[in-house]
Amino acid sequence: MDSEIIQAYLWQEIIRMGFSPSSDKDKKSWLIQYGRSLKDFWEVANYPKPPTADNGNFKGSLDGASNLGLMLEYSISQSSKFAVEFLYNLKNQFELMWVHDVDDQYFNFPNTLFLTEHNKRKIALREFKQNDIESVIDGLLCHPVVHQHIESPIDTHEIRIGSGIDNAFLFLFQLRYQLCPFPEKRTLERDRLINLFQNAIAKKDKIAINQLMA
Amino acid sequence: MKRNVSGINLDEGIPLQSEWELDNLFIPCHEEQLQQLTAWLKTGEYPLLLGGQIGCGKSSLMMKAFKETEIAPDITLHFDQAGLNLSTGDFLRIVLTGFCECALKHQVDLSSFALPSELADLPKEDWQGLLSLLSPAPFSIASFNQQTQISEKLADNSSFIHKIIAVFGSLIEKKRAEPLFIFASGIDKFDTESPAYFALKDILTLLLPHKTLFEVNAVHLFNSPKALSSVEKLFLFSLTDEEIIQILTKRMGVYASVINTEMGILSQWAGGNPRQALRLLTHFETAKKNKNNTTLDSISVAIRSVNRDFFAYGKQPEPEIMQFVKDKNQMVSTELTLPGDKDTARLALYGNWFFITDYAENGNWPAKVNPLVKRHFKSNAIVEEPEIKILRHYAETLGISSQGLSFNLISQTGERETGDKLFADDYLSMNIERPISSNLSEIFDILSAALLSKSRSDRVMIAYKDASIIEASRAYLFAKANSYEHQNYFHVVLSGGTDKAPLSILLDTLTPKKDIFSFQFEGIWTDEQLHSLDKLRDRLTQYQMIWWIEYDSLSKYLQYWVQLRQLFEVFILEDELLSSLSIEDIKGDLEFIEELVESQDSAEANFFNNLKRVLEYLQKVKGDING
Repeated sequence: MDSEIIQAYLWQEIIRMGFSPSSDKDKKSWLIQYGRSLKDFWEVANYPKPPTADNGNFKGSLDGASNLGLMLEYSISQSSKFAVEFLYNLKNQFELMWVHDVDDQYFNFPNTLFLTEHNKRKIALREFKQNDIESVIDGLLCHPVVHQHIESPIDTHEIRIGSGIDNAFLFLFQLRYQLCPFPEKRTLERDRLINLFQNAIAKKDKIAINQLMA
Repeated sequence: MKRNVSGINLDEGIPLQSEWELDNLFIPCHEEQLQQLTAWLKTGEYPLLLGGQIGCGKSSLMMKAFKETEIAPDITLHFDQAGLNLSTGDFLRIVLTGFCECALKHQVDLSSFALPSELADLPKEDWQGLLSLLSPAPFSIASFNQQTQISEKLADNSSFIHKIIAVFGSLIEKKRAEPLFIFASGIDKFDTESPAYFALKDILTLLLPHKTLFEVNAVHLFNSPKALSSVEKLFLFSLTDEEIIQILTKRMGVYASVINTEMGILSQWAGGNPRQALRLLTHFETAKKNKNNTTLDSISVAIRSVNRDFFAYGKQPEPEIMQFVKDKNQMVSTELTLPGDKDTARLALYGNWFFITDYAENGNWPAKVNPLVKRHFKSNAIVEEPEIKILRHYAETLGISSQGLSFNLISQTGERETGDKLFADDYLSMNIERPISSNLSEIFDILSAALLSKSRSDRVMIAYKDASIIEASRAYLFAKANSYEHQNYFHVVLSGGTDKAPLSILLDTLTPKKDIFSFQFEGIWTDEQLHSLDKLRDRLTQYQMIWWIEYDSLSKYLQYWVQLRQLFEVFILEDELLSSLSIEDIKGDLEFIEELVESQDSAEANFFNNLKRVLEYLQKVKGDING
């Protein structure tokens, strides 16, 4: 099978396995464990403020990013309807830069539908190779295809914010990776994620949230 | 404490201890003193006084020297950790314990002594039994009472015990065929005017025949007992701003470059004291997380907060002394050695109101007033102070203080004031700050860095006026502390008073099995209990604690706690919880967490159960208000 087709199925599969908590309970659990993981992954002093629920919206902040002069706040009503506010400390105070807003009321290209119609999922998940997983992890998280650069105040730190991501949990998770300023840690994390998803897909296992956030 | 390899490592300025900390966070600022100390450890034969002001880095320097030389003390005597009554008997007990342990470790023949039977009615040869009574673990009220009885016996027979200790020392040295190295730690916690220090002085002379390292405060170098006056002295002075910046840079890890300018400003306000610098940085980092704060606001919050934590309600030195140091940048030796000088120079030195910056020349010690309190003592040239100049320049760069910096303005009181003065009033502490009332959610926001994480063990004093809100407030903090990690908590009432033993209850309560300790101070604590508690500072550093103290008592207690307050933040809780905690928000939090509760022994259950108590309280109060 064409490797791009395989990667397309892997793309959907990885989003399903790691970034699509279905019930409210799973979403809450995902967000709490996500917040918990940031402190150690970014090696900052604080946990973020705990997430809250407000009229069915989950809200939280990534205040550990303030060490990069950034402040991020998210609000999620569904996986495909959410907003993340970016505030940047420009000369002394935080000012809004932009809002990454995903509104599923509008038409989006139905990738899943086409893949389902194509009906090659089982074959793709059987035939994939490690480099397929690598490409997908890079495209989703480590080097998102469509991205914006923000200049980091830390010299060796390259940031690419995936601006084409329409899944809330995937978007938050790529921020975790992109806002981590340690190059070696990012390399290790990339390797870890490749192994984690490769093994889980090959063995048809589930990925627990704490495994994803390890 | 869990540390980050390349990221941020903040704490309240507690001594570096682990190998990793000494390798990665230690900055060789007192290089000359470190060299002298390591040389002394390797070849010294006589005692050494290592002195410095509170928070100057004595303990970290000693740990570094021990590590580098791989020489550890044969006997370590913690005068600040074990002495509860701080009496002659207690101090003798501490020394006797150290010598007995060492003698037993080296299998010295003690058969000709009968201390176990004489002191504790034990079989004559039961030295281990005696040791467990002298220094019991775990600590309990029963063992405290036994300890007290033994201390009294030791005090009654102090001449004999002095001789015994001397003989033990000789026997140990003979058996090992090399001199004993004794580390007398914690002497630095004693105010030279305190009764306990008088009791301690005699005990210290007991250690003089040995190679003893005395850890003292700078003030003890000026007021040491006669017997110690000829002992070699090593002084740790305050650091340069550049050295302070190095320390802060190291603590911020890879993130340091983001706040280079701000660290430069904070270093000016640290006065060369590493702990003060770290406290400023920690407060700054916390304030910075409030998106409504400008960077200048965060610096201002840090300055005011550390001023409050260290100096609110403290015993203030005479203004004349401070003015003298401020004008002359020096302190005269005679001022520091005046007998009975409890309100002036030594008090100021002991409490870090000013810092000694170098060795004396012709009896004059170079010194500078602590920048945090400088403006409290009147000055005509406020704006010329370097720490204000740099901050003003920073504000100007940001376009903040352009309003009339060089023009005269009329203040609200109608007085003519310069823009500089108004700027200083707005952003800096002009007086000794008093704790400001904060609502519970504000307090939580500030505490959250430490409270949410097991790896931090910060401490906080919360003063309250209305006792009826304390239970709900406590429940709220316990709930929030379990947002990310499962944290066990333990709440105990500590009643002070002449017939009470609150310190033994406190020590008995502390155990690594709990994550957060909550102590409510009640009753009228005696002077001795308050002084004794102050000496326990280093014993408390490993525990996360919340102390609840009635407001009127706090202002009195803080005067006794020169040492303790170094490791605490101080807050005053607003009387009303409804104004800061909304029933809707609490319900929202409960709704969020409820379905995640899977077992009662979990973070989620702790969160849910405690928050439910808060909700019940709020609903009751609201019901009462609505009639």
